[in-house]
Amino acid sequence: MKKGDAENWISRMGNIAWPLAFILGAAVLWEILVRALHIPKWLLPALSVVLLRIGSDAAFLGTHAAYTLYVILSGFLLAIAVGVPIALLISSWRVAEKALYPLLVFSQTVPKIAIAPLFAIWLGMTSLPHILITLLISFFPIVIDTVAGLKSVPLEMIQLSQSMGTNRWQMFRKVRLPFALPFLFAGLKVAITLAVVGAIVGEWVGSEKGLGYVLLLANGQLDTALAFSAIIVLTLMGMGLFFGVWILEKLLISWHVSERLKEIEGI
Amino acid sequence: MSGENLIDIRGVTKTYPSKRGAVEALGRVDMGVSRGEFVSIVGPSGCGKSTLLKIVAGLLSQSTGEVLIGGGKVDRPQSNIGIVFQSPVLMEWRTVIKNILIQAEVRRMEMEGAANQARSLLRLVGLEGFENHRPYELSGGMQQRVAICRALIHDPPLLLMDEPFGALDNLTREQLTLDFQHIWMETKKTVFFVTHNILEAVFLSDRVVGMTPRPGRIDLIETIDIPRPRNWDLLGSERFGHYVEVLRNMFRSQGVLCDARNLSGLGGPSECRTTPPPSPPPKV
Repeated sequence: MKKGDAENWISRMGNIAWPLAFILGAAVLWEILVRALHIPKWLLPALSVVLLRIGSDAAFLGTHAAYTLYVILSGFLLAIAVGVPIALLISSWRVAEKALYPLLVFSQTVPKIAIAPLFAIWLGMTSLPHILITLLISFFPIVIDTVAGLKSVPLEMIQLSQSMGTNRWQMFRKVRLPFALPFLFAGLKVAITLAVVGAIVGEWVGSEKGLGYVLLLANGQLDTALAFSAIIVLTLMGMGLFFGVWILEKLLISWHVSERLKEIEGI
Repeated sequence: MSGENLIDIRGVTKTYPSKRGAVEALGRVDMGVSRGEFVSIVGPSGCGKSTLLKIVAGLLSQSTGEVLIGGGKVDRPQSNIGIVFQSPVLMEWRTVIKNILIQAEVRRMEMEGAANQARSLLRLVGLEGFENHRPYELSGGMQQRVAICRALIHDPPLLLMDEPFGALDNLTREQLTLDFQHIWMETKKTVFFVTHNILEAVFLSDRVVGMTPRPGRIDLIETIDIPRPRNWDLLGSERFGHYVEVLRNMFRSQGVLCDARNLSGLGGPSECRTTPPPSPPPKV
């Protein structure tokens, strides 16, 4: 038992240690190369310079990061609020499937970066166009994966539930939705990373706030250290958000086979 | 007679539309099941026995004829029944007891009493102490026991079972058949039991209904006159052997079962068909 625990702990540490070692190695390499090759600051600043910049501009970056976080979360939550009902409609009503699917594919294939300026024109310099672009970019995987989940409920499970006299709501709430949950989470994990992209695209088109705005500002002034600072903050934020969804998944669908497999493999 | 029947199946047929024309799954079936009776439907694969069960449950609609349960016409999914399928169909996001209690939740039964009932059912099937396990932690046989509890929790007068032991290994199957006899004797449900296993059918039933290959029709009805509780040592007994032989003979005459002597020197299984498939009865 004790030995197993220790092994488990080592393998767990390994999971964290390996990526950490890799990142650290890359950081050190970055620092050494920039210094050794005397690369100019506007081309590629040393990592230490970037980190110092994050420290000195913490308040500035913080306010803009907060705005971007707000855009990402609003867009992502709206994507769930829009995506799940659409998925429900598509999976339970053939007419809706025929009518909505082509539209969905259209909405996904039209380049968002091309229509983003239109949103800015129509909705003005508010946060609304940013949130809408985020929504538009991130809702697709939610719909597709949820539809797949809702459609894969075994026929006999449906029939069994019918024999209990379930109404439509009970069937959704107690059978179809829980069954589709692992699929939904697969979609959410893709969606949250896309939401980060969406927020930046939205801000690029017209904003006076957010890390996307900071990036444009930094590029315009050839302030490469600031650009890297924004990118690092943004990346950490994206990873944190992904981690949040992952934790939620672990909590909500611990019963699912994908989670159990991890247990067996000791991941 | 029909007044005492819990189930009345009258002139039921089922034809599926398909790309290669209509497929007749079920010929004309007329039969009744009286209250408290254990009736098995035995037939070769694809004879439409599962279709018949789903029609009785109101999960499929028949093409012609009608089904009455307790005198009421079946025209929608019936909820005064318990169903057990070949696979346990447990919800893996629910614990064992919650899988049973979903019936109670959906039916808005009083939960305290239902939970007690669920626990005593689990005791009846030998799963005491497994209330809070997840389905994946149980063996196939145990899962099927949970499915049986779920079919019984709301105390329905009628149990519909579609090859409930068909996916189990032989040993588990034997044990579960024996246990189910015990459950049946305790609860006195009417049981409509679909299987292709002759031994199981004879062992459990008051009456065994044999069906023809597709399109399924009733070929024979055999009343099993063996006192209960029955034990597996019946297997060697003459009476048990007689009933089994009657059913095996039915399968032989249908060409579903071939004897070695019929096969030797002939062109293979296709030649062992001793009687032509029965022709459809004249339309009334």
